[in-house]
Amino acid sequence: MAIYEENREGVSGWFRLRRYSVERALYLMQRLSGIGIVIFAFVHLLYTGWHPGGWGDVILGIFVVYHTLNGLRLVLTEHGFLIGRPIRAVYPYRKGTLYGSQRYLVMVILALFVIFILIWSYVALVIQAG
Amino acid sequence: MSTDKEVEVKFRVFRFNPKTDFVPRWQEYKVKVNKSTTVLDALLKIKEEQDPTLTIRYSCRQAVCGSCGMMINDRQMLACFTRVLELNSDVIKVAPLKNYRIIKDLVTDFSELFQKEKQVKPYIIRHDVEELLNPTGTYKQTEEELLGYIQFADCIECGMCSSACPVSATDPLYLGPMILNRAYRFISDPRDLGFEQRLEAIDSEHGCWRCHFAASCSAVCPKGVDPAKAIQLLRRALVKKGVLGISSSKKVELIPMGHVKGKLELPKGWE
Ligand code: SF4
Ligand code: SF4
Ligand code: FES
Repeated sequence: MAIYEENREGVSGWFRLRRYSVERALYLMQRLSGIGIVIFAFVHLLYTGWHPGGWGDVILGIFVVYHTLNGLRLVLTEHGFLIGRPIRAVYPYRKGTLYGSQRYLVMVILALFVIFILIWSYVALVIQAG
Repeated sequence: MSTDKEVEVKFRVFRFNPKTDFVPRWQEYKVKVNKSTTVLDALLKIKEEQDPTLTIRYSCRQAVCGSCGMMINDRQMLACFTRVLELNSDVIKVAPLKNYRIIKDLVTDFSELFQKEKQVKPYIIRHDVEELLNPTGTYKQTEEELLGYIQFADCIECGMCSSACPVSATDPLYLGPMILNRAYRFISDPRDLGFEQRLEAIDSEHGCWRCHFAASCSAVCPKGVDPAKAIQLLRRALVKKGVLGISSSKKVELIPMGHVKGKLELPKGWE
């Protein structure tokens, strides 16, 4: 059948993370958080007074903080920074996009993400609720 | 000798002939392999000894021609460049590359890919017609200039990067990492003068802006090419041209060749 012959993965391809590098997982989360933010923005435009509150706030915070931090990483890498210079490919291959500065940046944004989310959750769940 | 010790391994092979079959099926074979047997060797053994109807494509058997890329245990790999026992798995799952049309069994159709590749004019473009027709010498380049593109020139066009890319999975028109890498390979070649002529294809909705830097292309490339790097450098050149207004004739400013100013980046043991 045509669909088998075509063999295209479609959206399920985004979710096939095993056996690839961590950047693919970051990409998936960037997509999902982006879609989440757009959905929230729509609801927010229709009912301007509404906001999720409590755990809803925490989830929205996760989306926004992740999307922003990872977005900053992408702004850098997608302008050719931190991915290494062209080199001669000699076995065992080390690809600049998967090692070194880019990877350190991944660790930094993930660490910042955890810190921001912990603070934000405290604000949303303890201070605002209390 | 321990290298000759044979082990029996189970192969689960994807079988599908779009002309006659309604749905694909998985067929199992048991093959004896030793330490040096590659997946391609094992598949050829199956074909010779058990099932001559199994269809595969290969030619060089040494990771040079780029014909034998397939999904081996759910990842894009060259069958001739992957040893069975190094996969460390009792069952080896072999399927055709994702995101290409299947011709039969493990053979995929690259004609669309090569058709798309023509858009980026994958050859050196020059304007000095007189010199091309009646050459008076060679086009010289320095070692530093060579290092600016040689990594991207190592591509064997196996198409595995474009198969792994999650953007190709949803956008059939996306040029994909193999082709964009190809474009950058020529743009960053100091002998080439065709940057402008390639813009229409590259600087477009389905060109380099479509990439989201998932870097799966670089993760699967068997030749150390790093197509994700090529794409980001391509974008850098386009941004410099569009935003900073640097003319495409000033290649040195558009294409990063950090090593021209600094130290040559040679791998260990090459000095
Ligand atoms: S870096 Fe770009 S081209 Fe490579 S796999 Fe990711 S999205 Fe595709
Ligand atoms: S860049 Fe690597 S994976 Fe992509 S086609 Fe070339 S050799 Fe194959
Ligand atoms: S047979 Fe040529 S690359 Fe595998």
